[in-house]
Amino acid sequence: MTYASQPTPASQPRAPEDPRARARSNRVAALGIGVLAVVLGFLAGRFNPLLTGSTSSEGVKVDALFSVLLGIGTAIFVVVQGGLLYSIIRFRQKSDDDDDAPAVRGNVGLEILWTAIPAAILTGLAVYSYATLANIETPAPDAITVQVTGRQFAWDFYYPDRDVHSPELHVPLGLQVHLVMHSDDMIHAFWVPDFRVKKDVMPDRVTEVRFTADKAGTYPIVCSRLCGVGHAFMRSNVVVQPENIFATWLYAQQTGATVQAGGQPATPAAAGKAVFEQNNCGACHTLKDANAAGKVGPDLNSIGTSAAKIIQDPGYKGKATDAASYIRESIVEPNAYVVPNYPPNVMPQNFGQTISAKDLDNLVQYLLSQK
Amino acid sequence: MTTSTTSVAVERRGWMRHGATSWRDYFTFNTDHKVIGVQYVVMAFTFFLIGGLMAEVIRAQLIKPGNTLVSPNLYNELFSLHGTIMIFMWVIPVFTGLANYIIPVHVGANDMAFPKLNAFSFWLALLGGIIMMVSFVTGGNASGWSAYPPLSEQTGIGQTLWAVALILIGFSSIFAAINLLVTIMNMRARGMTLMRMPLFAWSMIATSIIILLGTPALAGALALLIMDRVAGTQFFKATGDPLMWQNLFWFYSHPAVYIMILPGFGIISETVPVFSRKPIFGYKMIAFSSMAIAIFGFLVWAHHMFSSGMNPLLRIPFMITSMIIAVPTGVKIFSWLATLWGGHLRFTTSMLFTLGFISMFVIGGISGIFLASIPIDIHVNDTYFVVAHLHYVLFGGSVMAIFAGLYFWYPKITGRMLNETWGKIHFWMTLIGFNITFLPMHALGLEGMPRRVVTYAPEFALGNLIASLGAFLLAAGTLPFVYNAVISLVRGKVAGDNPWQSLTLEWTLSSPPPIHNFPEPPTVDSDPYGYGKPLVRRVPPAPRQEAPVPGGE
Repeated sequence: MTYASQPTPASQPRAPEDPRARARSNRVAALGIGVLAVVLGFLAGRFNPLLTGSTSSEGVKVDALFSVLLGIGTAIFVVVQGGLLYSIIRFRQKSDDDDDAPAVRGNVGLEILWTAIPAAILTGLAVYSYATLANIETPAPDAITVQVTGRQFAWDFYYPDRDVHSPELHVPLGLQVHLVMHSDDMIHAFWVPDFRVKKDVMPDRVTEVRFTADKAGTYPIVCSRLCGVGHAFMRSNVVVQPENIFATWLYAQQTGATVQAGGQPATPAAAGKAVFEQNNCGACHTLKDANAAGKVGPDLNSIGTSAAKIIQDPGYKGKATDAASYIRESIVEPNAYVVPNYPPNVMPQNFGQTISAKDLDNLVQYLLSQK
Repeated sequence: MTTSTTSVAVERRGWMRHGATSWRDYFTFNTDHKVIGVQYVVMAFTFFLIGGLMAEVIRAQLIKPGNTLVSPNLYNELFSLHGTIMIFMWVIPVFTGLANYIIPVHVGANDMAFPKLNAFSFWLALLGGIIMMVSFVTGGNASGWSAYPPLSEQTGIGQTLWAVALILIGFSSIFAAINLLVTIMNMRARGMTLMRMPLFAWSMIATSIIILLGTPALAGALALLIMDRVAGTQFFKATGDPLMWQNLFWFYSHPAVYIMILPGFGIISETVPVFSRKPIFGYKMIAFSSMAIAIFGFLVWAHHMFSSGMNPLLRIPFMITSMIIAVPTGVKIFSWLATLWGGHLRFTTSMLFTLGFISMFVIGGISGIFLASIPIDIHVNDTYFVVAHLHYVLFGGSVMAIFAGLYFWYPKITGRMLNETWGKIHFWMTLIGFNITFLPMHALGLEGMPRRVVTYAPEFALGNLIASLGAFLLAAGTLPFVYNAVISLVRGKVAGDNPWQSLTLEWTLSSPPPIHNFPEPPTVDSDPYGYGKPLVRRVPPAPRQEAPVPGGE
């Protein structure tokens, strides 16, 4: 059974193996790979080392689904890699052999089997995934609603019942939180890896996400949708607190704001520092006073003194006439003058709209005080 | 045709050339499919090196958290162009090049159906590639290869050039697909029914159909994006519908995944039987599964948008189709395994890359099932899990298949063998480097590292360090191939007509084949997988019929 053009092997062919014994040992091997796949698949699913310990009740269900997928995925992996490995070892052509192999062209039963079994498994997985999805997205009647605004490169969380804004998300333990989200500029994505929840935050529509935190603690919030130069720095935290502590925090935020506005007004510079933090300016700028170490935009450590020098510079193209107006211009119209070695169009150009006039005054005063 | 089919001289028609006798002919507007095939492959490989260099800079930046090797803006441009180049200037054109060279000889034709259009496709792709590089120099696309608006409407002037370049490359791709489809459908040898075609030809039919149906959607979306950027329209701005871009983009770009893997499936379906000395197992199922993928490929695009603002109910049918599309791919993998099983395996470098392909692609396929499941996808979408998945499919899959094909057909194309020792060094460095680079990324993504970030939280330092070191090994692994491919042109062992004892038609010709391929039109009486039994493939030439002539001349 040689291919016509092949040279006949020079050496004597070896004594042929009994083909039936050979076929039997291959069948045993195939069975062995199958058994190994089931065992390892079960172990991988049972002891899923990759995605465990979610701290939200929805995330726990996602982890359970992941375990099932990991088990099935491991079984498929073992079948294919085992079959490959066995073939590589067992069916290697001997050096004194130039023959072709027996011409098996197909096996209808096998082909139906390896079409039907995967189709059945995948349909089952689709059903189980749907059940999990419906479960984790079910609204709870007592959910508390927080409005989320994403903007380059900061998060704002607004509690409408108490009229409180916060750069960090505080939520009560064990209660479903319903986030209603909107973006001021680009598409962002709200992601809490520990909760397994993620949703795009869009500029043209409102999106929603729900989660129920199961364990007190502080967890990172990550923007996972590329939203510009500061994307990697668009992070915040979600603080999960027992309900009474959460209520106290919310009350303090509310009354704190009242005190500032009424009885003992904070200095403009101190209020400006809060504005700096709320807008996550530190994602891109370095400012020791605010514990900020961003490297995307210019260093602001001595902006109070350097601002006056910049407007004297012959290369300066903007309209500012003193340090305060230069700082204001740089915030609301960043392209009017771009500091050398920094690219234009990187700083968002809508701070004039998103920051209130009073906050803007305070922010300018705060930056002016950085000498 | 006025010239003899056995002519060995380069034909000149005005400024056009047909055929190559010296290296200079490869730098002309040449209508010989074999010259164009080589032009495509060399151009694509050059872009592979450029895109690879960008990947190395990216991995160098990520070697430790807080690194400042490149600025955030440059970093965003680097990964955006890395993705675009690897997809549109490497994987797609290198497959087009291999198909250009191999498909006509595979099906017994003397050239492609439209030789001038064929040459035009190549030069258009090169023009697109050059504009793409210019866009980078002018401050390019910094919004990812998927260029989601509104971000892609805020980035620099290079983004417009990027879109223009992509439209040109898209047109080139459409022309090449028309050419291949017509060649395969109309110019097959006598007796080569559809069911006697090499499986590579089947995979190119499926690929060409996808290109023809999908690419116009991308071109349309890019045209609207350019309008938004230069003419002030509102298609994808926040005042318009940014989500519409995602629909249009993925309507092309998910099927594009199959444009980038189906030709690889075809190559593997050729190399597995040759190096197993067995007929391909389940020919019909492999052929039909390619067509099934071509159809199903258009019904899964929204799985890229599970966490977007799309209608939540619509996610369900897309999850089901995304799961089911794994079935035809699974059929192929099991068929290859069954072909190997009981074979007489010959471990040439081409075979090693073939086995590497099956092994690595399966991992990408399995992680694909995770991504089809909506609750899992919500967590890992836009993370390093996806980066790992797509590289297992596109590097472990497509690139391994490309190398399997290059090692397989290099002797036919150049007339000389590649050095097997250097080939094996190339394979092992690639396989090991690849896994060190991309395996840890699964864990990084699951643990919470988003993709497209210039820096990351310190807890991800170890995984990233390992990935970066692996990437350096992977890059170094390419050098033996470059050395091998160049040195073997002059020093390689003379290949002869059929060094692999393969049964497809190209191996009945000299290496390289004469300028007009077949001196006599070949006749075929079976599929080309008759290994393992004595088989006479070519019956005496039948009375000559009116065979289709390239270019309608």
